[in-house]
Amino acid sequence: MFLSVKNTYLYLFLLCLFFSCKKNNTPPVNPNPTTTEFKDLSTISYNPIPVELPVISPLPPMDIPSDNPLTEDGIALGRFLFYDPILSGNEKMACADCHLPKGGFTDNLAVSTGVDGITGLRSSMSLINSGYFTKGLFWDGRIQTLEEQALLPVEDVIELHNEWENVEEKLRAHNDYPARFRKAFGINTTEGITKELAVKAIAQFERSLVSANSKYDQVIRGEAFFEDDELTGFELFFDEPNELPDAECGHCHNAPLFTVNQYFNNGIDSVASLEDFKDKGLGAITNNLFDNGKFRAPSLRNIALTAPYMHDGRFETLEEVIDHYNEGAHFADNIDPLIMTKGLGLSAQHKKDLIAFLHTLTDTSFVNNPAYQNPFE
Amino acid sequence: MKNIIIFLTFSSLLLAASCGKENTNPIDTAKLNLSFRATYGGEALILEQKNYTYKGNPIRFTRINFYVSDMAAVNNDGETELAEIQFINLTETHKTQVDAEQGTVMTFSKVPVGTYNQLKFGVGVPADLNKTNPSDYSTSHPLGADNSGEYWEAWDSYIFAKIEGQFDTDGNGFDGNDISFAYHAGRDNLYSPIKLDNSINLTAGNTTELVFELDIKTLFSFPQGDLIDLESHNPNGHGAENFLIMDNFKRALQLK
Repeated sequence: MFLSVKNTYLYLFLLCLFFSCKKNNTPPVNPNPTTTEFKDLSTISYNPIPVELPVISPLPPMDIPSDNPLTEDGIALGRFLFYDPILSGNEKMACADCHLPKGGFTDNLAVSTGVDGITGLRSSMSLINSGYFTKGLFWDGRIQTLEEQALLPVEDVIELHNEWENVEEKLRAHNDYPARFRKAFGINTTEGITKELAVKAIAQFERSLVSANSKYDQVIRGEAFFEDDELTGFELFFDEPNELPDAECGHCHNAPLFTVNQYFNNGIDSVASLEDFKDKGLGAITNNLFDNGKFRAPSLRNIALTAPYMHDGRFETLEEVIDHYNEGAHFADNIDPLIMTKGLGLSAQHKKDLIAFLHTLTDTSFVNNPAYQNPFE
Repeated sequence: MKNIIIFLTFSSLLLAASCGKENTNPIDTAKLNLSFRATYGGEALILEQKNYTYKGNPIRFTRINFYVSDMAAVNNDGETELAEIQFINLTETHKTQVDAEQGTVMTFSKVPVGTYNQLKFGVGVPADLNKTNPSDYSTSHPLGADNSGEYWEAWDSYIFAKIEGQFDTDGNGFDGNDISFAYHAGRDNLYSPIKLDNSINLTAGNTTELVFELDIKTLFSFPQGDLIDLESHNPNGHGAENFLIMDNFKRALQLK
């Protein structure tokens, strides 16, 4: 009934032999027959150097996700991927084509055109200080993190129109990228090059795009002074307690980010009912009728560089934007109570002052920073 | 001999660890859920999509949020601090009937057990914190840049409470000729301390649910019961009505 110790060993040996034979009889399965053998990367050094983003007054400390800490090599890899057309289906378009430094990380077009020549519905959003953007990304808030965001354009047919599997394969076979992924994330073979790591690197680069050295910032830090028109514009913007009218800007574009990370119907569309918005914005995501026509209030930092304006680029100049608010917005059942349907009462001089202030939000040291430029040039 | 020494050493260590454990007197704790719900005349308040009656005409609300601070449970042994500062964003939790009946819930997972006879807190941001601004906090902190819309540079103050909406002045349906109102109350002198005398018994391992109801109609009323005249109010001013509204939190916020 009971096996002796000797017999037990014999039994176990036979069992092992049985399974071993069975394994040998099974033909090996290549999980990815089209892929060449994965290369060993373990001989390449992996010494991640953490990067702490400088907290530049008046910006607050940025929340960095614990599963994607910033490193020098991670940011560098993200920068290469951001500017590399390898991500697109025809290898002719990169993330940067819609997010150029000189355009405040927009493309200065009303709406962008993808690799197939298809025009999108919305204007490319600025990525400046996007590490601070919470409560949803894109104009409609459909994505919560920069990592999730970076996944989408690659496979969007009206943007880069590619497949991540295809991108992964090209990156694994690339001369340069395997070593960069190793240095950024410590992977041991090229098998570790995945879309998840690619978007982590891009997100790291995006988090490094911190702009806080505009004239406005310098004034707040006591390093510079506003000119008279800029100061009046500042007072109009933030409704300083004086005789000037309230331009109501700060409610949605408050300092220090110049966005409050929220969604508003700012009265740019005239609709008979909430169902009639051509672009439903947030409502298409939440399926809440009262969210139709609401869009993210963008940051106004570097706003003078990011024309045209609004989610569909309908206004070509800042003057047109201010005229919209000053002349009275279109009423709808969900218009924000702080958007005036009866106008703001700003004079021509007030409007000029306001624009002078908005120009103080331009940070040339940021847009010209070599760390953010195309590494292939 | 060697084994005996090892055995004795190990036994002594175990004994010491055991004695140490017996000397520890862990405080029993309980979980406390506080939910904040907005009502209008006692009825659950739904933002944007539902109209209510105000002085005979339709009114609707689009935004209700406020800060609570220095929240503590009080008994004869003293005060147990629950939270330094919290942002109560009813705007996010009152879009549907179901959500409105749930409200905005704050959870305190380890409150010492016992019987408490008072909850105290302030509506608004206390003066010491109100000297700061969103740049002083991480983005997701209640006073941080995520809520930078709750800081008003011109006042050097957080906005303690926001109540926004529209009032159909002529009763012919909401349109661009009606009143949009935005009561934004801030600055140190509007801080509104509240003490609610209620017996709260927290027992070990159990969860206690407390519900605060904020009646917006009461918030907009004078102590005698008259309602604020929205038509004479500067719809986007930050005037005297704010003093009344902030003081009214004492009457409008009740523990159910």
